Amino acid sequence: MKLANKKMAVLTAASLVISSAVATGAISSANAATKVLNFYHDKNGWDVRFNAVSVGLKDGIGVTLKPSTYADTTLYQNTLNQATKTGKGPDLLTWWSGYRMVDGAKGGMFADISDVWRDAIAKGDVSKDLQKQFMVGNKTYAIPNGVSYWPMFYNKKKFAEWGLKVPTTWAEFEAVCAAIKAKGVTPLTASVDGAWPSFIWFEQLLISQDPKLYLDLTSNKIKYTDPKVVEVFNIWKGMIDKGWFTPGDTSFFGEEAVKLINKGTMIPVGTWNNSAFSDTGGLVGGKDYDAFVIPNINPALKTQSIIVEAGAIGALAKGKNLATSKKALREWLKFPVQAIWADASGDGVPNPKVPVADPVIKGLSKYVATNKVNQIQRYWESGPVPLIEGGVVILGAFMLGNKTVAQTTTELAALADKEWAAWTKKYGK
Amino acid sequence: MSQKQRVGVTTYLFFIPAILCVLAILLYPVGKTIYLSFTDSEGLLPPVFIGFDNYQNFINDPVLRATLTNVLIWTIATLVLPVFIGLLIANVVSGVKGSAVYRMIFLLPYVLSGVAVGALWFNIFETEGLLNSFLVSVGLESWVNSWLLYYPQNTLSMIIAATWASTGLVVVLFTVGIQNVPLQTVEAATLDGANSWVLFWKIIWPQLKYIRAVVIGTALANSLRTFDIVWVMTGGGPSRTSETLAVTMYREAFLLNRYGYGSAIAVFLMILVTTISILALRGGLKKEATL
Amino acid sequence: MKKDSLLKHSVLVILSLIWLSPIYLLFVNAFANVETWESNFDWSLKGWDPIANFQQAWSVADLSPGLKSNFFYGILGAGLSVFFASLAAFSIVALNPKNKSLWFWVIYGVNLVPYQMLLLPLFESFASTGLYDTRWGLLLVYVAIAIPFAFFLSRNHMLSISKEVVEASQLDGANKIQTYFKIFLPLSWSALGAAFLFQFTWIWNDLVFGLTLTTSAEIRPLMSTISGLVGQYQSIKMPIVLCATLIASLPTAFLYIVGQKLFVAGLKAGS
Repeated sequence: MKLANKKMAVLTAASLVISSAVATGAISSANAATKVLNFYHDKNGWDVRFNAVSVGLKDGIGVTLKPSTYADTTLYQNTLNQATKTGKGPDLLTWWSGYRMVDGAKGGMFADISDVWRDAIAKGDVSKDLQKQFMVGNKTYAIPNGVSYWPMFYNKKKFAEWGLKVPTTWAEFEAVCAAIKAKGVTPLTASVDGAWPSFIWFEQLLISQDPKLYLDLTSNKIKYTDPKVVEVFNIWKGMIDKGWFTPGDTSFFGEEAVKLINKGTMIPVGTWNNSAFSDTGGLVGGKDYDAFVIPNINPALKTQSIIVEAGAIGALAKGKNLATSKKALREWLKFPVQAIWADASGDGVPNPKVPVADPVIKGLSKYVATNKVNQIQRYWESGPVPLIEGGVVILGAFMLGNKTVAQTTTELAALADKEWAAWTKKYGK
Repeated sequence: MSQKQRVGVTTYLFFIPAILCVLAILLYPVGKTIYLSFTDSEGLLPPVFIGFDNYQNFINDPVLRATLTNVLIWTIATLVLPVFIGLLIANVVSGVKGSAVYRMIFLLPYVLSGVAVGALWFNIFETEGLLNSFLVSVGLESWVNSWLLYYPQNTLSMIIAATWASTGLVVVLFTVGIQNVPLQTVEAATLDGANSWVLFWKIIWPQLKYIRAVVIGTALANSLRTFDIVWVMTGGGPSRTSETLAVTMYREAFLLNRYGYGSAIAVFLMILVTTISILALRGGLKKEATL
Repeated sequence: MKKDSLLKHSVLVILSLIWLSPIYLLFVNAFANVETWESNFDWSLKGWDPIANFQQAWSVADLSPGLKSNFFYGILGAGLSVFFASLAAFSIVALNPKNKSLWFWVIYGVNLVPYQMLLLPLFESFASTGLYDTRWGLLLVYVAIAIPFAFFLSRNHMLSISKEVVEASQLDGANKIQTYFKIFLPLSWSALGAAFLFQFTWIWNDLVFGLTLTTSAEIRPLMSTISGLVGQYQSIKMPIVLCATLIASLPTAFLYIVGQKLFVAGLKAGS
């Protein structure tokens, strides 16, 4: 009897162990079902945001992200080119939209996710207007990674102190600049630091003069030497000569931006920098600082225009977990994840159903919608890469006073001819 | 027992670890680069053979003249300045007590990382930076300049930063060399009535032959490949005026994804560095005993 | 003589002060109080907070894996490269192989290749052989690139070991390996130590190879991690970044101070 009891005890214990093992196994296999997607990006500092997105994806479809930061953008792009060629790389990646996507799309970097967009548009998770900049041919290759406007950020308190009002005409804008200058503060930021920032005022002045002019220029319908373009350059030169811009080696984002805005300088920068003002700088949006849409130079224009920047998130075409990656991209556009992104980034998001929390972005979005402000793609994404890269170098030289307007426009026109010809040769039209 | 008899397989085995490592990481990259230099290879597109076109385009590139000029400036500056200044300082340091402390002081910048050096000097030279604010505070406002924005002062500014970072090593090397000159030789020369100038050139300088080779060998290889500081502080700008050959190569290959053209520049650079190094080192290298 | 000394000392003191001023800048701004930081490098000691900044730099920048990796790469990389280089140098100097010049230039030649040229093809070959983002892959690169200069230094030093010593050991019946370990290695110890220091510093401070050939936090070397602290999307304040740079520079500085004697001896004996 004792032996039988012992056997029973052992069996019971064993079955307890086994059943708990099975139970644990069941739990862990449920956990094991959480797929991990490798996610490469070059936005160092945004790991916190991507980790938050990862939590949202886990709740939604049981997928997590493993972000890898590439601090150097150039190396990042080349690493991904190599990854595309070798087939060994991430599942998901950040990139740029517009022309910057063409090489990747045609070269097999990005997977075709037109179906993701079809579903998302149908469910109202993203606006069809946004789709074009992620399309090459008639296929779509990435989802938007936030949607940033490029308004003019300004110090509301200083404006009040100096008796200034937000300008609604170009004349008022010039008066505000002159007034700030008279107070001994540089009114506007401009920079050639890193070469790329030189396009900021170029595109801004063009769209304030006439958005169609900008669009024609960037699609090679008119030349850089066109008199209307030259006119804009002359306006720019006038502003430079009046000493309205900060020196070329200025940094105008992050904590540097906070320093500048606290002095009273106005900063045209993407709303992705908004969190620098609110989080890093501790400024209260709507009270300490705010943003306005830059008035048109040409008073005859009926609507204003604002530059829009949309980053891209795509799936590597040769990625091992392509199906899961596509699911993740679809989930990324849904309300829960988009709400997380809005909260984490303090910037605008592609999903129109997400309410904007940040007061500055909220006010800006409302203004843009109400006044039907034209949303124009950034110069950076609006032309063949070598043209843009070479173009910003020439624009930078102009900003520093090393080239006259005539030299600048002639050189830009020559570069455009050369690069558009190369582009056509490479890809047809 | 002739040495020649003893040269066997084991002699060459000693080379194996070094050669294996070197070949493992060099063979494919150098081979691939040379291959690509004869092709039109852009971004994700497959390479297309175009013969010497890249080299021809490079020679005709208007930026080339400026780039080569900068390479020349940088080579002279990073060769002459640290060596000259280092030698001067070493001369003084070697003659005082506590030379070890001074050696350490001058060596400190060398141990800092390139990122730190670039960031520090950027903040010193930028228009709103410390150099300008210092000039204003001592009443030299007229000297205020945008040191990093215009050529040639941006190249000069970067050369100052590079010299600061690398001279310390030269100081240490030369101090050791000078202090190693046998005391009797120095005393004998002084007794013969040699003044310090003669003492230096006729007695000490020849004794520094070995150290000189080491210094020049390192300085040369590094100067011709000047990249880090330029890229961090000015990116080769403005308008590519401060570009050096390595920067041009990086720009073409990495920024514009023109791998074929970039490779041609890399091959060009490699030939340049090799030629100059052979010329410069041949003199200073000690020869093994020949039998 | 005394006047001469005084003059020399004064010159050196003034020169040292000017020389050290950027480092002073680094320290002052690395320890500046983050709350009152005005995004401006400054000369004066406003708000001195070294401990808080160090703590923040350590946690925010997550320097621990990078430091561990750097010690791995630095010690093994410099150690192995110096060892391999000394083996080759020994052969060239003492064993009279054929085509000495060829061997010299093949090994030294790595130094002449612009390293950017190596980056993309290395990435490609690493990706296809599975060496990408591995400790051993990156270590191999560091060893290979560190060999030429170590070779240069070792060879120059070994040439000064007299022929009599070599011949005596051969008469004693020592084979080549014994000659290397019993004669050349001990005699070259200081030169090899100097080479180790140089190459350790180079590997420790490397940025580009780390950035290109690794990506995980545990594999990535330190400078890659630190370079990620600045940039367009980053919001870490400058003093913390500078503090992180300081932490990263401490080991090399320490090594040089401690190893100075070795360093000096190693270079002395060669001339």
